[in-house]
Amino acid sequence: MSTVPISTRPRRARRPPWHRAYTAAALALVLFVIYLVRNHGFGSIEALGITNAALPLALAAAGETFVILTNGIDLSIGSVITLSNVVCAVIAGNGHAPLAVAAAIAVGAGAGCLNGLMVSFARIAPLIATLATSSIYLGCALIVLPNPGGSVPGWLSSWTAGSAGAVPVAVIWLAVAIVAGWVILRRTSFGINLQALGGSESASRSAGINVTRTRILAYVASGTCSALAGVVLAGLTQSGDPTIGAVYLLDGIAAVVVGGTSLAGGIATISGSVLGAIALSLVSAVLLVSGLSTDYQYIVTGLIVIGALLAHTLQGRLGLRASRHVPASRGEAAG
Amino acid sequence: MIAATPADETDPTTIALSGRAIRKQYGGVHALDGMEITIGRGEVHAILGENGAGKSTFVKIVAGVVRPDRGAILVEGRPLAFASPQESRRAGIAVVYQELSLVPQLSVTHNLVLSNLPLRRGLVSLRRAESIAADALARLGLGTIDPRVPVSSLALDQQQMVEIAKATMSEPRILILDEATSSLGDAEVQRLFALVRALRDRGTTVVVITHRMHEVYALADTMTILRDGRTVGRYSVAATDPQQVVSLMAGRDITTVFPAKQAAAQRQPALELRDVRLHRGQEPWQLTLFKGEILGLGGLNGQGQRRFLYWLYGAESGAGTIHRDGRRVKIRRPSEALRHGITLIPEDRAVEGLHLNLPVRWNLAMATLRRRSRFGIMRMGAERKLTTSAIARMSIKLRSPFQPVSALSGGSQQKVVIGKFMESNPSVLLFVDSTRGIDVQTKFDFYEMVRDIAATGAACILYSSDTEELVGLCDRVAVFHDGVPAMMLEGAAVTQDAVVAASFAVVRGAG
Repeated sequence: MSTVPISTRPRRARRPPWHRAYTAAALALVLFVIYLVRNHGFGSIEALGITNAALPLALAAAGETFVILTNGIDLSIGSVITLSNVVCAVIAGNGHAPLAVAAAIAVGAGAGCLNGLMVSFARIAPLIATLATSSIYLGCALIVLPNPGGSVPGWLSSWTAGSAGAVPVAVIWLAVAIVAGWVILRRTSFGINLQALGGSESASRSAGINVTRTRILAYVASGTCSALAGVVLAGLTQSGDPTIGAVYLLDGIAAVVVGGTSLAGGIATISGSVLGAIALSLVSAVLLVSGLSTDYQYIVTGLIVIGALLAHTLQGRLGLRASRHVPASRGEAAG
Repeated sequence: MIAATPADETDPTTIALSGRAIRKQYGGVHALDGMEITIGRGEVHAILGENGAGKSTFVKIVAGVVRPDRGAILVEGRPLAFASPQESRRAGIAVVYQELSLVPQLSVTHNLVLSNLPLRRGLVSLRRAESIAADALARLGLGTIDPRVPVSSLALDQQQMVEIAKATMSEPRILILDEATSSLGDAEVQRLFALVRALRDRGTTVVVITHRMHEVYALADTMTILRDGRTVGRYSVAATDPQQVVSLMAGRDITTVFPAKQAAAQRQPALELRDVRLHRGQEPWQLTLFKGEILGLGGLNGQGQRRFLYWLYGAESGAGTIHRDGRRVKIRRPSEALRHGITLIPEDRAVEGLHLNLPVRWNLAMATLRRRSRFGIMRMGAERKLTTSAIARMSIKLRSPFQPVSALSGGSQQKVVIGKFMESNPSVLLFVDSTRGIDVQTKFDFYEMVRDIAATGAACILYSSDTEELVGLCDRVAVFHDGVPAMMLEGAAVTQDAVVAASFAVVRGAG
């Protein structure tokens, strides 16, 4: 079209942020190897224990990823897990198991929807909005089931916490979560709109994306994933417990961070969050087989989160150097 | 000067876009106060006016981002309902904004297809997205941009070209370029112009908003001049000269655009730069900077001009020594540069130069905090005196020194940035593309300010992507190529033609 010389240069290709999930994968692998060495072997019992511990956390983290991707945060995941857990156990205890699962998921989606509406229309900061709703959802859970109880039928337990031959069912669900997360984030309009929204709200708006709907859907996705975690926990414990969700809030966010999702929004992988959850849930197993008290797991988890953040920053810097990136305000890469 | 005859207003087939009595108020301020505009089909139409004249508001209304209080906009005779950006896009309007509207974290491909994701069985087809993106880039001659990389890894001018590719890929019937050239170098501007002409030849109507007069003359057929939210008139570009345009915009006569240059009588070196190498494998080069001069850095965009200034400021790596009065001074970081009286005025005042939410007074005081504090406690009296004098010296228009900087106009913000650095009495000032995207009147004020600063004996180095500005303002112009000042133009040799010719000649010579 023109013979004018080109002042721009080709730059090294930088693919989507898969590499951000590597840290979590490496961490999970290292912890797993330590576990194998310490435990002198690995059988189906151990596999079942580890994956059953990882699945609910992975689901909660996967859901949280959608919200953090939009630059928000969902502090209600723990309470939504609890609420859906007790709803599931109570209804199933009355003999309506399929209805119980559907109701639990509907409750989670509805709770997420309310979060999204608060953030989008009441314009309350996500941190405060979900802190408030978290308290409400927990209160509801305590009304539904004040003390641990309820029950779930055997088939629900075997579908969530059982084994298919030597392979724990939870492994299959973890794999499904990773694949489904990839498809949703990379291959659906919703996922791409989410990434755009997290990257730049104004740019998304001018590209004609329905920003409000996308944001609400992110919270709905988070609530739904938490509800799935609540159902899985009901299957695992074969009952409901109004205190069961609390630990999943901070561990869930920690797993997302370890998985490489940027807290500034716009960059996330579901696989990273799932791997982060697996890594974090391996911590207590490793401590156990190392003969250390599991009381240390909080300290270790905290160190891992800090270490992972440093690793991501370092990776980012190295990546930038490799691609000779100079902040736009400094202009060109003379080189 | 001849007012251009508007295309036949009763015949909607000849008019692409028209606006009738458009009003828009923000708070108590009229952004548009009964603006009228008629743009003929297939013409390149420039909208000119100072900052605050209402150009951007008009663009936002046409784009469906902002709703007018009153008035109508007709696209090919049909009224626009101002519902949403989508509606405007459906009417065949595409806008390239001054502020980039790309998502930095997403790949170039995703950004290009974002408003119209190609779906296959409900899922986004990456393959089709990539081929659409590659086509759109190729059409603009941007084959060197890898569509898979995130937009944030591209240089600013590349990002701007991607933005333009995004707007033109839908084959709009009306393309609006809102300050689209402000971050482009000459080469990109030429490519953009070629594209605009090609689009016009295919019947597209192009609306250009720019502060660069020579671009209007290079590109536009007709123009509408705005002043204070009202239309001054519609003119034919060929029949109006730049001087007239400027006085129509300002509502008064501006005889000289640039302040008179200094006679190069006494030449005392302010700084001597020896054996400079901005990157490895480069021949070392020398440069002497004289007191009281304005040295311009020219050349194509991205030839190391910015890097050179940031190196001198201690913010970029590079080899070479800096000497003043025969003694070597070491500058390894900006704080050392400031101590030696070398100051850099950053280009992006919002990001690097100012704390937008803080009062003007604190912003002005920021650069000299240490000097005015005793045992870490600030002396408020000194601060008041200093900021009062700075506001007077720079003639910054404000209601109170405690107004946040964000409440000031762009021009006044610029003055605050410069005022802040002037209080430390610098002897060398480095300006990085300071007039990017500011209006004509503010530019004039800026030119006079730089000339006044130089007249006090300070040396100024000014990098600008606007050649007209380099020629009008600078005593000498160093034309950069690949990190080296490949050619030095001086005195009468500093002409527009010479600078442009040198920019391209050095590329060919070295290439």
